[in-house]
Amino acid sequence: MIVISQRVAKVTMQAKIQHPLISLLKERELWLMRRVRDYAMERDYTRYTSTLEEAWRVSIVGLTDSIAAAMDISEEPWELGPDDNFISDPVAAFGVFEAQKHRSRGITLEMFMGLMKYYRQAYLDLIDISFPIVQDEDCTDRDRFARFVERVFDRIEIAFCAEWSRKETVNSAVDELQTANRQITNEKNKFLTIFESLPIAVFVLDDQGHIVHMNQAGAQLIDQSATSGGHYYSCPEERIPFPWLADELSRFRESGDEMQSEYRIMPATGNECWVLARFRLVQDISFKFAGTLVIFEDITERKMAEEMRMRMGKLESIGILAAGIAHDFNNMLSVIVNNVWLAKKRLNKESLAYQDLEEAEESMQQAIELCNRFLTFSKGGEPFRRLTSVSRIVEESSAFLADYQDIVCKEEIADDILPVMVDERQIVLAMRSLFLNALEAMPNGGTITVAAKNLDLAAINSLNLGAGKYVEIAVADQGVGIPVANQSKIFDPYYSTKDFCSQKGLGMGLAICHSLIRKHGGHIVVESEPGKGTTMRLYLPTV
Amino acid sequence: MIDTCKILILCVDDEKNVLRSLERIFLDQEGYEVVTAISGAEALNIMEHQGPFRIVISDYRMPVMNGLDFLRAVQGRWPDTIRIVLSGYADSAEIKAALNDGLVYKLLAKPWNAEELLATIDGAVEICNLRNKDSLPGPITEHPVPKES
Repeated sequence: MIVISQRVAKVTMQAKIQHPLISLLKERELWLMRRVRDYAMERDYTRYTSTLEEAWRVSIVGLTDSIAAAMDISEEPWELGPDDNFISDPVAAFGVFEAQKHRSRGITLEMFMGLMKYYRQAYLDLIDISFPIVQDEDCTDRDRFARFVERVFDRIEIAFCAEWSRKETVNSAVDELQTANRQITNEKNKFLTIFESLPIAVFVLDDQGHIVHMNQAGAQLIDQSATSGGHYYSCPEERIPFPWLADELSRFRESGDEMQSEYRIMPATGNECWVLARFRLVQDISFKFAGTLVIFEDITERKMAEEMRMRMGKLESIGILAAGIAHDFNNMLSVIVNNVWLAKKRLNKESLAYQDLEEAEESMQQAIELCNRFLTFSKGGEPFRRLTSVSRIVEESSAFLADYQDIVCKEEIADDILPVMVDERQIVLAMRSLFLNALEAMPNGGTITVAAKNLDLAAINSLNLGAGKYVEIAVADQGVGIPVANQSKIFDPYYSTKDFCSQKGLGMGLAICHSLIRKHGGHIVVESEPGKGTTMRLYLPTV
Repeated sequence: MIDTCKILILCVDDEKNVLRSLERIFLDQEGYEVVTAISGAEALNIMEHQGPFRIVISDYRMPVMNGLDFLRAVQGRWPDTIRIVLSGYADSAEIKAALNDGLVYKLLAKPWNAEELLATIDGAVEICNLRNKDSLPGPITEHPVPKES
């Protein structure tokens, strides 16, 4: 162990020992930065200073590097002389550079020099607390280091003033300011444009939860017609309150911990949407722009897809259950039906027993029909696909509507409609459910419009279907509509808005339809507005 | 053991009560003898040791070997047997295809109509007799499902 530590010591020796003052300044960079910031805040300089930590760090690094550069050349304090050329002094180079930078930013000499005094103070404070006071000694490290730092600061400041007041630069100051002003405006516009272009909604809120800034995506959630840059340039006199998540915001303001969660909000469009909301504090280390950043990412599509997947899963398990029950039930029915028939055959037609069996047969017939619906809904019948014309499907499935005189059926089938790859019987059955539903939604008659068109789906689409060519068939009625809350339930078996018991198997129509369409690799969605009508859209794959 | 003058019918279903029901249909039918099996494997075994069976009636959905797989095995070894499917899944595309290529003579839906079942069997026997007389070539189906282009 000893050997190793000796060797390490040797290497360090060779690498060059850093002066204790310089190591201290480098180690305590963060401390210096905070110290200066605190002074600046106390004295109100932060009204004009940068808000981001990195800008402050860079200024501390520049000063520390100047001191280190001076130390490299000589460890004696860099005393001043009447003939020193400060503008070309390597130690004061930082001052010259900063003078050029700040003058064009519209910072005054007084302002700069004032804040510079607090930078110097911060460095002196650090030396003060870091090196001990030694009694009975004339010149301690503490004094020497302080003096060294003082002189470097003096040089930087003098170089700064010399550069600032150089004749040629004073004359060109207006030009320089104008050029800088243009650049700054451009820079501002660049970041404003980036902010406005963000596809996610960004809001900056004040302590009261009012909106200070928001980008277009954000503004559009509040006012649909919001334009890009609208909020920035209109400079509203009164800040409007942030309309959502008040409780979450106050909880965030109390804790200050970054939060993110999924919420349902109601934007100006009136269509509820899902957002992933993130809360953050504005990262201003001077606290000039204190506030809360709220970012909304629209995740409605993802949420809907998730919900849809869950529904699919549910329907699928119901399908499996139904298949099992229907299969067994069907076998039992077969036995009953068979034996009733045999018994009847062996009985006298006039006997009461024969009539009893006829009664039983009537109910059996209903049971058979119900069981058949379940078998169709369940996995039993895999589709037997062939290319089938859409008009033929529409014709066959809507033919029964002709019996209803107060119903008008309008067909809008695109001329170039592609044939679909389906089991014709099954799809006709599915479509018939849709027409039946439309019919039942309009007890006083009306128009049913059936429209069909080709559709090219990209790899990612809201229907959760694979990429490819599809045909969309829409059946629209002018009926009572379905409340939003019920729309997701209409494909569930035995869900019905109508009175039960009036018809056996009621509530199976759309469930069967859904199951058949899914088996075909297609999809069905409902769009409905209470009072205006319902449109069922079904998507079927073509070749 | 088995009256060889009678027409032998083999019924296959994994439900015993269905088999019992089928047997009861033929209780008072002269000229038929019904044998039952609860799986395709058992049925094949029976066919090997007894028979010959003129008619095989099989359920479609059975564990291990489904009805069509069983009938395919029957077709391979006893091609002259008349093969009938008795199934709840009347819509099945696989059964339709089997009807089309002659694997299945007739599809009867469950629950069956006993009269129709008897008529089907009578018809099958008649065709069988005809075939024996005239040596009709190829597979036979009662009502071939037209193939669509």
